[in-house]
Amino acid sequence: MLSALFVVVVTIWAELSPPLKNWLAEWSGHHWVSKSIFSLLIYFSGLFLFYYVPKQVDGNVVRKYLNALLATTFLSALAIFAFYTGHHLGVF
Amino acid sequence: MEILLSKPVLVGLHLGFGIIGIDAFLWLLGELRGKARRKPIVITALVGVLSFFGSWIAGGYYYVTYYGNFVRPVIKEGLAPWAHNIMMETKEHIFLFIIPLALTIYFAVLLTTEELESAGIRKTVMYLAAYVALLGLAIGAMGFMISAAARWGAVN
Repeated sequence: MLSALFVVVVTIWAELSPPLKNWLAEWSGHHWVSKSIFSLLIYFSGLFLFYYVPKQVDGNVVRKYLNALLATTFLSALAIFAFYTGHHLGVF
Repeated sequence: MEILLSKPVLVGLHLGFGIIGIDAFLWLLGELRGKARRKPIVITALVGVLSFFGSWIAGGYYYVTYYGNFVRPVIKEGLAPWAHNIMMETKEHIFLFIIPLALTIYFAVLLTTEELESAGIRKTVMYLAAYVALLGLAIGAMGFMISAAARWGAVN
């Protein structure tokens, strides 16, 4: 979820803010490569964080988070498509 | 090694790995539905994850090395500039969800069939597997449109 949200936010922000896009490009040589690396780092950081933070986790909690993951990635995909469509049409 | 880095081969590897990944998650959907044994489920999910990684690496190398300089200008000046502005931009960013999603499914199926059932998440994992496959198909369709736009841009 964190990874998907990061991709949406940084993608839209970088498209509207050339300095951010330039920074991403300079970080690894290409803005898309930087986003790829950061999204994986965020995923694995979240994975370790939620695995090692001690708390009670049962099937209901896991199912809730997996459903939220499905919804988040679906909406994130729609958001990116909608943004680039609007961007191409000159809406924003 | 040089031939592996040639443009047609890179696109072919990108597509080939993507197809294997999509098929693996569709297969996984079937195995979860049929409550197969744990080992085939884990192997199928692993094949899916590794295939999407392969697609990411091959496609990413092609995109960074060749697409920006050689293909994008042709598309943007051709018949369908939206193929880059909408399809390619959407595709390259949606793809970044697929690897974490595929990994999450893989970690989930490391549970035994009984654990998946008792936790009540077998169906949810099935929905995720179906969603990853659908995302892959959508990305593939977008890739086809982008390639077609490049061909028609070059011809015209």
